[in-house]
Amino acid sequence: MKPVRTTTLREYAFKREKLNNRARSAGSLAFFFGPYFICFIMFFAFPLVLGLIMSMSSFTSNSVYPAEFVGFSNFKTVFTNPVMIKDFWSSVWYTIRFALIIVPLCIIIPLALAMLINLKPPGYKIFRACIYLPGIFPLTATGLILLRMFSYHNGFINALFDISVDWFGQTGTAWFMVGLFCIWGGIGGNFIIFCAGLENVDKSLYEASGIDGASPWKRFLYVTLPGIKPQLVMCIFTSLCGYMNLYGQNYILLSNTPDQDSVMTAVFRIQNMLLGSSRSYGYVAAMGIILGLIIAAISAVQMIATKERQGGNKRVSAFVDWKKSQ
Amino acid sequence: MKLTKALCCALTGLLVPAFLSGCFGGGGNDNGGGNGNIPTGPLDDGDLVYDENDNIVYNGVELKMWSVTTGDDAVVQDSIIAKFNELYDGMIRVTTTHTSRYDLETLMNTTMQFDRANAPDVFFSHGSRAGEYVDKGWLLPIEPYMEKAGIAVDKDDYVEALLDASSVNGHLYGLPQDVHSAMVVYRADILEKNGLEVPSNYKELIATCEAAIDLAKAGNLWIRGENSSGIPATEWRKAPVSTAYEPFPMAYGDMWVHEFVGFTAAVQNGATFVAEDGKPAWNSDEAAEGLQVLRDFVMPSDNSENKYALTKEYGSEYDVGNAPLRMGNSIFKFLGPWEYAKDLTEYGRLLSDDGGADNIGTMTVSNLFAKDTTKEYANKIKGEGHAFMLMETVTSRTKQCAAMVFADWMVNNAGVEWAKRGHLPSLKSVENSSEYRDDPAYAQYISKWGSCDDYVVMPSTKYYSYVDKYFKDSVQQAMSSQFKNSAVKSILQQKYDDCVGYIDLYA
Repeated sequence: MKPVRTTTLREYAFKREKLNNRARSAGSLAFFFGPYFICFIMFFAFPLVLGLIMSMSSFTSNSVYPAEFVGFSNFKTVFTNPVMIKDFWSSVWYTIRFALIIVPLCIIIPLALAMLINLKPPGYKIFRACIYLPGIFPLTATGLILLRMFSYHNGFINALFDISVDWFGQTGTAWFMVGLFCIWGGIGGNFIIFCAGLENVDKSLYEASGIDGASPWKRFLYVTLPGIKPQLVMCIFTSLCGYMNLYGQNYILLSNTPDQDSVMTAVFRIQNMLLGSSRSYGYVAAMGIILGLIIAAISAVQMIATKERQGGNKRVSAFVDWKKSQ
Repeated sequence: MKLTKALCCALTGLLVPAFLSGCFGGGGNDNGGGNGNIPTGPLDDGDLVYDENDNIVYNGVELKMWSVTTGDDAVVQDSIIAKFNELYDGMIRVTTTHTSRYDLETLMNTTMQFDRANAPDVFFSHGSRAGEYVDKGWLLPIEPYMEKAGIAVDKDDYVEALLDASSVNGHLYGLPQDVHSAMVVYRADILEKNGLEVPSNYKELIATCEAAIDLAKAGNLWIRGENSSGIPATEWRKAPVSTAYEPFPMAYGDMWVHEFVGFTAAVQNGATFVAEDGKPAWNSDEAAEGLQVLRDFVMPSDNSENKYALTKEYGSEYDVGNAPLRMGNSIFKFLGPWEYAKDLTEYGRLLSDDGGADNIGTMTVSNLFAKDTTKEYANKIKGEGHAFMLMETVTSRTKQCAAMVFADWMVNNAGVEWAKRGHLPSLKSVENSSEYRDDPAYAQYISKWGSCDDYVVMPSTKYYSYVDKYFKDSVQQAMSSQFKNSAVKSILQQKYDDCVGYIDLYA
C-alpha cells in the first residue's frame, strides 16, 4: 500500500495563491499585451516575413500569391538589370540626396522656432499653435493649397512677384516645392518635441553659465543642445526614416511634372512598378527589402554618430576618484 | 526569459502555418496560365431550363454589373438599364455599381484575388483592356455563351477595330457598345465676326489660328464673352494687343490631350501602337511626326508649319479649363463629348441675348493633325470603346446566358441616348437606324463627331498598361519646354526602351 501524500493547509494555501497569482499575471499580460501582440503579428511580423518570401518568389499574371521560389534571383535582378539600375537606383539616390538636405532643415528650423517660443514672447501660445497647424491638416489638403498658390498661370505667388515660373514643371523647382511642402507641413511635430525638451532644460545651468561669462552661442552649444539631446536624436531618426520613405508629397505635387524619372522617390517608384499585372510583385518586394536595409543602415550610422560617448563618464569618474583621494 | 521564449514560440506557431497555407499558389486563381477559361467544345446546358418552345427560361435572374461610367454617364446608363429591367421584369434584373476608372481595376483585382464570391457577373469597361484582363484570368470568351443564349453576333455589323480590341487569340471577350474620343468645341460667333473659316484639316486649322493671331496683334480681333470688366458677355470688344492671343489652348496635363489627342496626332500621321507580339510599336517616325505637330502648336520652330504658338505653354497646369473659350480669349478647345451638353446649356445662358448656344459649334479632331491629308489614315481618331465582358467567376449557365441577353440588348438599344453623351454606337445598324438619325441631337451635334468607322482604338495586348502609359509619358515630354532640346524621336525611343525593358523583365 502506497503511503498517502498529505498536504498541509499552509502548502495548499501557498500553491493556491501561487496559481492565482500566475493566472492574474497571465490575465494582465493578455489584457495589456494581447491587442498589441495581435497588431504586431498582423501588421508587422506577418507582412515583413511575407515580404521576404515574396522577394524570393516569382509571380504569374493572375495571382497575387507567389508561384515559385527563386531564391535571391529578384535581388540580383534589382542590382543588375539595366532598367532597374536606371529607374530604381536613381530614385534611391534622389531620395537620399533629398533626405540629406531636408532632414537638417527639418531639425534646424523647428529648433530655432522652439527656442524663440521658449522665450515666451507675448502671444507665444498663438504662434505655437500656428506653427503646428499645417501639420494637422491632411497632406492632400495642404498639397492642394500649395498647388494653387504656386500655379504657373493663375498662382498667387507668381502674380505677387510678377514672375513666370512653372514651379511644378521643372525638375529643380519641383524638388524645391517638395522641400517647401515637407517643411511647411512637417516641422510641427519636431517643433512640439523641441518645445517640450527646452522646457525641461535646467534653468540653473543657464544662470551658472551666464555668471561664468558664456556667450549665447556657447550657452546654446554646451547647455541647450546637451539638454535636448534625447529629443534631438529622436527627431533626426524619425525625420530621416520619414523622408527616406517620401511618397505622398511627390505624388500630390509632381504627378504632372514631365520628367517623372527625376522626381520619383524610391517608394514612389516601387508603387509605380505595381502597374499592370502581378508579375512585378517579386521585384517590388525585393526593392522594398533593399530600401528597408538602406534606411536601417543610414539610421544605424546616425545612431552611432549621436551615441552617448563613454569617454565623458570616464573623465567624470576619474575626477570623482581624484576628489575622494584628496 | 521564459516570457520571451513563449512569445517566440507563439509567433512561430502563428506565422508558419499562415505562410505555408498562403504561399506558393494556395488560394490563387489557376485557370490555365492567364489565357482565359476557354471552353473546348459545345457548352452543356448546366442549370438551364427550357420552355415548351425550347426557349431558355429566365426566372428572377439577378445580375451584378460593375461599370466604369461615373457622373452623368452613370445616370444615363442607369436609365437605359432601368428600361431593360422593366422589359425583362421578373426574368432578368441588372444592378449596377459605378466606379471611377482610376479605382475600378484595383477594386476588381482585390476582389478577384480575395473575394471572388462578390465579384460582378458583368464587367463594363474599356474593350482594349480585355487583353490584360484575360491575362489576369478574369474573363470568359463570350461567343460560346452568346450562341447558347441563342444570340447571333453579326461581326460585319460591328466596327472591326472595336471587335479586334476585345479579341484575344481569335476569341471575343467583350461585346463592344460604343466608341468615344475627345472633340473640338469652337466659338462660331468669333469665327464669323472676324470672317474666319471653321477649319477641317491641319493646314486650315493653322491658317485660321494664325489669322486670328495676326488680327489680334493688329488690334482688330473681335471677341466677346464672360469677363471681369463689367462688359456684358454679348458685347463685342477688341482683343487686347498687350497679351498674345491663344486661339487653341492646350496643356499636356489636360485629360483630352493625355488620353486622346496625343494618340490621334500619331495615328493621323500613320503610326501604329501595338506590334504583332503585343509590345509597343509607337517608336516610329510616324508617331514622332504626330507628336512634333503637337509640339509645334506649343513651341513653333523655323521648320514648323505654324509660325506662331497656337497656345501659351501651360506647363504642369493640370487643365486649360473652360475659362479661355468662355471669355473669348480663345476660339477652340478640346473637350470630352460627354460634356458638350453642359456647354450647350452654359452658352445658351451666357449668350442668351444673342443666339445662345448657336454661338458654339463642335467637330471631330479628324484630320486636324495630319500633315498629309491624302493618306487613308489622316482622318482617323483615336478613341476608346466600352464593352460588356463576362466574368470568369460566373458559373451558372443561366446567368451566363442572361448576361449575354443583357449585353446584346444594351448594344442594340442604348442608341441615341448613349450617343448624346458622346458614345457613338458600335453597331452600324444602330448608327443607320431612323430612330438614331431622326433625333434632333443627331443633326445638332452627334453627326459632327463622325462615324464609328472613323475611330481606331488600341488593339488588344496583354501589355496594355505599359503600351498606354509610356506613350502618354512621351506625349507629355514632347509638349514640355523642359524637353524642347530633345528630338521627339529620341523621347519616343527612350520611353520605348523603358517600356520594353519592363515587359521583357516580367515576361
